[in-house]
Amino acid sequence: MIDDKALLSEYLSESEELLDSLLGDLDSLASRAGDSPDTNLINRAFRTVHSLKGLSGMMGLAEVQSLAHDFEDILDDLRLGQLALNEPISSALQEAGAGLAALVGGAARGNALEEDFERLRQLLASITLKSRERARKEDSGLGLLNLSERERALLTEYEEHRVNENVRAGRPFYAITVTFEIGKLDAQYRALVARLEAAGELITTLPAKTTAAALVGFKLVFAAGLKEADVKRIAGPFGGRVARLERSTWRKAGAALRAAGRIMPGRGGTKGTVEHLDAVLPPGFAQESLQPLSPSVRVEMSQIDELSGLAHELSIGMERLTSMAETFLGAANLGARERSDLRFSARRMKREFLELEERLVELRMVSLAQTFTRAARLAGRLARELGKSVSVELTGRETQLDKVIVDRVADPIYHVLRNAVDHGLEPPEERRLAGKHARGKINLEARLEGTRAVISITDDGHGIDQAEVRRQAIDTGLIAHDEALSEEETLRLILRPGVSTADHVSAVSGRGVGLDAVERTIYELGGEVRISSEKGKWTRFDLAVPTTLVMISAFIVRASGSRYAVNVAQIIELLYVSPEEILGRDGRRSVAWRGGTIPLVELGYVLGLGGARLLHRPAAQNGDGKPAPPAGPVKVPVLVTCTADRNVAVAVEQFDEQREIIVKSLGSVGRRLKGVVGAVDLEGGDVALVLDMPSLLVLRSMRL
Amino acid sequence: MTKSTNDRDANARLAIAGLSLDLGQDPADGKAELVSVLMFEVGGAPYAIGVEQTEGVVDCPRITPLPNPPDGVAGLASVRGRMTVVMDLGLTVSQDLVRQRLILVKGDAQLGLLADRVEGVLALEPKKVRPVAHGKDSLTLQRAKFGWPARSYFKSGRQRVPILDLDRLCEA
Repeated sequence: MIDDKALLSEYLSESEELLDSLLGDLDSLASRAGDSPDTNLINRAFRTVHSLKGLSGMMGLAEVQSLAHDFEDILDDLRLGQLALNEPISSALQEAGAGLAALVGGAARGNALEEDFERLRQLLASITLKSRERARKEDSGLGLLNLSERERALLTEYEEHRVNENVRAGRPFYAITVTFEIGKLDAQYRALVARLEAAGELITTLPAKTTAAALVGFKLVFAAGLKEADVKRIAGPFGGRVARLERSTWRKAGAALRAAGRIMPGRGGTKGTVEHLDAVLPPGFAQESLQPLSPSVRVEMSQIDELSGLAHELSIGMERLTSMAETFLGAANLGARERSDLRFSARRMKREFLELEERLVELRMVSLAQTFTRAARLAGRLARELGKSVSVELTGRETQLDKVIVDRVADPIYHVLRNAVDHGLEPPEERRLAGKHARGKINLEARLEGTRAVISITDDGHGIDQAEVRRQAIDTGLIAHDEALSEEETLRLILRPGVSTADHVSAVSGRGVGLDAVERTIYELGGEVRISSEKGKWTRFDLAVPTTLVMISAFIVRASGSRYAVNVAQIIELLYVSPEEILGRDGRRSVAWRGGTIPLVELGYVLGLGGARLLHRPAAQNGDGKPAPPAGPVKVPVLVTCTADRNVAVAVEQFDEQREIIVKSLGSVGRRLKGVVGAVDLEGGDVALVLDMPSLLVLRSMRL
Repeated sequence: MTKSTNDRDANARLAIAGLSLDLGQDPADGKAELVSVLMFEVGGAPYAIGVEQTEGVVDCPRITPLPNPPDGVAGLASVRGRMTVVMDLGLTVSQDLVRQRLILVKGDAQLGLLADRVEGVLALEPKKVRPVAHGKDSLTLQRAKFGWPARSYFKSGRQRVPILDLDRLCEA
């Protein structure tokens, strides 16, 4: 049973989609039972059940997972032709699909019936039995084809099966040899494949020799009930050479055999399995019903945005109405009771509008579960390809972020993960020598940090060699050879193009490109990338992204004549500093704070809105009713904030007030502005930019 | 949807937005292939933009400056509860004029174009719309000619009116 409600509803809604697609495919298969089955349909059903299996496994529904696994086996047999799709089998499959659908909801909610499980298991077992009975006795038709040993070895079991099917159907085989220029390869190959698939069956594509390095050659094995001239007509425009693929002696023998009726073209179906299956076909699953699994509705993001906009318009109208009411109250001859009633109603409506806006914001939030699970799977697959072994541990995948952010952060996560697998983790033998477990470990973790979500990717590989990074940075001219850098600054260099931690270049990573793209994407989201590492032991990448569009508690300040909102979670302390306490001058000021000295910058300067103001000049007038700075000489309002590795004092013109705000997106152009995560509507049609202090200051950090 | 209903929608939208329509030709007269553009003026120069790329025209609310804004970006304004990045095509020409109208542009760039005056919708015959330049450096040519990315233009009297290329504008 799944305890987490959000997770449960996500599981149900996704399973429902998969089951819908599966049941649809099984129905189509059943309606055509007896004909040679549509391999595309079977393949799709296979993939659907496979996804369902993965999804159930991820949710810890072991029983559903194991049933889905059995189901998958059957579809695989069907795919490989080890099980013929006759009517009893296809209706048994339909039944099994319905059974699976019935069980998924029950299992997720924890009220599945044991007997339903048992019934489905038996049903699947009986179909499997049919499949096993028909032992794999297919004579390989491969011998008929003029392929080299090496080429034959490249064929998968499935492709071999397709060869057999086509031999049985009496279709001729052709080898189409083509060469493409590397630059045009993709488009041309796809166009050719599309043409071929429309006319027959492309069984496989084998590599072929070429004369020039800039060319790529292929040998396509193609079966179709077409004459050689027809195939030439298809392949001709692509410069393809066409040849019959059957060995000539076999071709004659095949024709003779067909003439004698020994090999019948058409299906190799098995009949006579009916009675056995009928006996097991259950009377129906107790929980099968027309009720949908999930009570959720899928909605376009833009619809939510429209609703938010509308709610906002309404709340502005409300404000206007309230202030008008106040004016009329003064004029009208009303009793105290009526006045307070009206005020009370107005306040309540205002609160409710706020809540409405907040709820609409929540609608946009989705969890990282799917992204994480996919990333972990991809990492596992990549590790296998590289001959490594890795276990990926997921933490905090229920963390919720705005859908837009979840979508955009997926690529960076996978990029960093790929780096970790490819050259963070050592090969198994090297790990053993270093006294580590041969299987590498990667932690993928999400947690909330104030209004940001931090996604950490930690590997227990060989860490980053700072001396090497420094050497490369000097070599490529990124830094001067005597430039002093902090540990964090040195590590950050690997985000720059041209600096790589890989001691080899693989197809996957290590070319020193890509991490800068990760940083750019995260910056565009208003986030930041942090790196830490211990040589020989581990490396960690933190991708900090805003959860945005949430209500945040912000402090409003004034600088260079405008108002700005700063997330209170990013403010350590608010101070008034006397001009005498400010040390240094121009771009290199500092101030004493908590027993040390921290750099001091002006917000206007950091924002690039004008040069450094003379800090000792009187600040702008305080607004009405705002707390005045302490008496005595004029003091500078300063907020202390924290970047990745240090505290910084930021001077502003005036402190305004703290309030709850809804951060609004600036759209795709505004997203490119650094250090600004959004904006907020203030009274009177004013807009305040919502600043992200760490990324704003990191951008200027070299000058601090 | 046919082209003419598209045009009617656009006209309706503009009418709602408080525009007086000054149609050079009735776009719904059955000539399905007409190109409808919204004509406006910035700093004394005429510009046009495809009607289907716009969402309406509003009086420009107060503009908040942005830190290190990209070229042509005047600032940010809140329009209909949405943050709109305000672009001023005349920014490089003259900074003194008070631009009063804001043409809202469709799409997730959340752009608005400042205009001194919005003249209305003009339906053009496609043959009157001429491409600006071809080849690799067409953006440079466009900029040299009009100051702003425009893939095509048409002649109004003796004047060449650029039809703004919004995709390029968003990139710029």
